[in-house]
Amino acid sequence: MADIICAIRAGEGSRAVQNAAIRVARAQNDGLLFLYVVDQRLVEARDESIRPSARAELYWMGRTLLRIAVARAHAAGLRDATWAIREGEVGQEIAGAVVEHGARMLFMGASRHAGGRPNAALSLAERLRDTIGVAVDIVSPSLEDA
Amino acid sequence: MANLWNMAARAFAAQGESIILQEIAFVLLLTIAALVAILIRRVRLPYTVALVIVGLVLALFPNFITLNISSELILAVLVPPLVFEATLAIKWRDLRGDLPLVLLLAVGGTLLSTVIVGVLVFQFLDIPLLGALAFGALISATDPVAVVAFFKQLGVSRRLSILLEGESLFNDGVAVVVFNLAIAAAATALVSQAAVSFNFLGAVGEFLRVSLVGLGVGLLLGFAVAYLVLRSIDDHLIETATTVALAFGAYVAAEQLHASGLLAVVAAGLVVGNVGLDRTSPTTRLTLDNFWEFMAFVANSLVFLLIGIRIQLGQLVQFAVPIGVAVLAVLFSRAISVYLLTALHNRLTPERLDVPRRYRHVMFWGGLRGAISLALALTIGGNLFGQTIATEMQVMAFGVVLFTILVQGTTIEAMINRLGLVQKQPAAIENQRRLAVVYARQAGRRELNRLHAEGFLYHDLWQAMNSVYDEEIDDARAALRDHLEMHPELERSMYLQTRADVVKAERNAISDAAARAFISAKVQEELLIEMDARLAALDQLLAEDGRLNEHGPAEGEDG
Repeated sequence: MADIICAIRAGEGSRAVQNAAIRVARAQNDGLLFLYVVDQRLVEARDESIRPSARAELYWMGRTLLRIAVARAHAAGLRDATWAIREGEVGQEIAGAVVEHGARMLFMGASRHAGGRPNAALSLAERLRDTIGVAVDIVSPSLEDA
Repeated sequence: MANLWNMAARAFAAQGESIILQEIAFVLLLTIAALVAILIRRVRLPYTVALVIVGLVLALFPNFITLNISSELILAVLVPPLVFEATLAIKWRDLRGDLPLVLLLAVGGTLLSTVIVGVLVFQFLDIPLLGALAFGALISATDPVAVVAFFKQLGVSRRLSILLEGESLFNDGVAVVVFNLAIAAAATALVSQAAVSFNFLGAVGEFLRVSLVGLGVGLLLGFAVAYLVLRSIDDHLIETATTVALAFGAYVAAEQLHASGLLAVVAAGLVVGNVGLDRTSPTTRLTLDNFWEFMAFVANSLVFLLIGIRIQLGQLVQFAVPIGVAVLAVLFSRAISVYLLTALHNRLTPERLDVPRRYRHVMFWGGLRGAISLALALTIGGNLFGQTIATEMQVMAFGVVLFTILVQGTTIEAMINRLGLVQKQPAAIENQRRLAVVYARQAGRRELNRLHAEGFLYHDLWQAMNSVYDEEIDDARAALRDHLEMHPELERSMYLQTRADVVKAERNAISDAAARAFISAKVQEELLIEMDARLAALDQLLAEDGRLNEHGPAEGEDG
């Protein structure tokens, strides 16, 4: 069980979202779960011959990124920080993890500049709020950081 | 009888000597190409330009290399590898979205460019119309390899690369077809000793027949090889050999049917790259990639060296005006083709498929000319238009290629930067800089420790210098950490690069274990296949990393 889930992928907002999740978890004395989803679209986009290797490498990357995140949480004084990897469609898997762990809050990162595009993270957040009723916090790195 | 025997022996000896001389010339050219490739690592000069310059210098010593390569040999032996190698990397899923535009540019653009350049050259220079059109066709084949390499380096949009690469692949074939039609018309005119009456419909019909039959032959042979060999047999040597047979076989088969050999090679390459290699083992894939990269390197080097050798330095001065006219005509025709055809495309297609204005500028300026134009120019003999005009056209082609490589090729990077098409490059470069500082300081400290260990430094000096190094390394690491804190997305690239490096180390360890007989050849092969698949996957993930950043994250993926 984890009260807070932080979905990570080493994008532009990754550091900011991890820091925010760690801060809130510490303040509320909650358990924090870092989640990495091996995106099935990234796997299926490969030629058939290398799909198993691509999947294995994405798992490798996920394990590495999650360990960095947990180490940061521990360094910040949050002992109750763990990680999990899932595989599938990103939105569905995040929702599945929230339900399975009974999480009350979900942290997700967003890019610094959406460049006029509809913000994908925001639309996913809305969908998750509507479907599973979890509180979602979208964190972007501040523009001054650019 | 003895006399006859002696004559035969002398004939065989002469033939053997001739083959040896050709072989020596070939070896010399390859050696020169390799030396040039080594030299340009130290000099900031495009490889092809360096080759041409060396070729020009070699032309000053006419007896140094005597390689008798016929025009047919250049087209049949040197050009197919260049085209086949380029098509292997084109993915249908990337190409299909923009295929109508690519074909519009390749067919419409080449025809438009042929006519514009042909008419301008005919008007301003003393070259007959059919010769001018032949020149217009040969110089319309674009060669964006150098530009696309910049795109990859700078992280420019994949779509822009595909537009330029796709156009280039098809317009090579189209240019050759139009060039051959013009040459055939000139030959007919020469035989009948009169100007040929131009039959427009006949020419269009012939153009379509030659192109479609060529594409058909390539598709047929490509699918046959893909299904019968590449998807059925798992042996990298057999599969590589088959692709060689396919690349040259498709060319020869189409030419035998009086169709376009190059378009056959394009079609065959696309089928192999997309269907045939879909299920091949990563080992085969690596072997194929390396083999075709080498073949293209050799072919490209030979074409550029040969044109350099063929042209005399004095001719560049002698034909300075025709070169200037040709350069202006080529730039003008490129501008018309790109801006007009993309405007037409934007008008006819949904807005989401529009080609942005910034892309159009890069497509115009990035339309470099290269080996195909030079190879076609080398095939122009003196029998059709006279030796002077043939030489003039070769020098003009050479001048245009040189201009595009030297001027356009060296300024395209600045243009891409100016147009804001580079994605997050400054942050990535800054990251590299900070990483390099850490790397350099650590190397310095290792050397310091070695000097101390070997007794070259007294203890106090070593200790003091070591302390300074400690501080510097701490500062450099902190600077790197701060930068990554601001740009955490760079961490992913660093991870993927590092992971690729360690998998390569694992691969080497397996070969080492086999060499020491710790593991059998069978186990080694199995493990190497797995490692190669990992490397191929990492390679693709790395290539896509820039694109993910460019297009923005997929849903919910940016955290």
